[in-house]
Amino acid sequence: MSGTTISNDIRRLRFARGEMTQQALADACSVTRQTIIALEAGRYAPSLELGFRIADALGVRIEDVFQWSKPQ
Amino acid sequence: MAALSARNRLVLWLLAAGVGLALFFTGEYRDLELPLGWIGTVLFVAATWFSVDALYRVPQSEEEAAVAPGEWQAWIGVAFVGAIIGASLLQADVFLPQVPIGQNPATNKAGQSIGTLFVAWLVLAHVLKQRWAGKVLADERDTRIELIASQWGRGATAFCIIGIAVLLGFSDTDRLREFSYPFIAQMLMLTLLWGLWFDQLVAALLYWRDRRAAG
Repeated sequence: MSGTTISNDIRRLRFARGEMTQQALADACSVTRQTIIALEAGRYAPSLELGFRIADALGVRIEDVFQWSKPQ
Repeated sequence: MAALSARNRLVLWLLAAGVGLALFFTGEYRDLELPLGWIGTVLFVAATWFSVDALYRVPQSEEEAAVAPGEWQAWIGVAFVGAIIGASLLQADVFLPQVPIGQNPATNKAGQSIGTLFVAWLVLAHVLKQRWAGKVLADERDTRIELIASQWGRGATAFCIIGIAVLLGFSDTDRLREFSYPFIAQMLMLTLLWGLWFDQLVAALLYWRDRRAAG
């Protein structure tokens, strides 16, 4: 998977939510821990559904988690 | 063996499986009285079995947890399909005689050794799934990686089929007579295996590249 134009604040929001572990977030979203690692590293753009699930697990709105930068 | 830690026991059994596999590949060609190929097969199967037992007892390490189940399965697939292709190529000449596969003891023997590898692969894959029971084994990222890998695998298969078509289409009639039907059948099977191996390799590399970039 190549880099993506979608960035995210998953890492920051995890720590803001009582230092939630990657595994705990992965379990809450029914994905593997490696997918959370890839997301945090900006190596993977999630589907809309997974984006909503992550936002829900972190207790924030989807736009607080993901940002899209328009390609130049 | 009892005094060793579970991890060291696993490493030793895996080494024994490697020795068994090496004997399996080369044993038949050594000028020795012992049936080394057969001993290698037995050693490989036994060592794989005990490795499985040791694997259950090893606590999950950080290194193991860092690798996605899909990546483990892809690398194991690369190793086993590669071994099956290697075994098929080493024994390719037994398919050359113009004798149906069912009536040629040499092809039956080759088929048995290749079948043993397939069974060992299935057993290992099943055991790993048991070890990961309760965990998420695949998600949308795995599906996307599998999709990209299968496209590459299909391309590799098509490339190989075109190669065989060109080979058969442009060969002299005398040369074509040397290719028996069992040999052509074996070439087609190898083409499928090559596509599968390439598929597994691309998947493993995509997982590895993501992991490396994230690390």
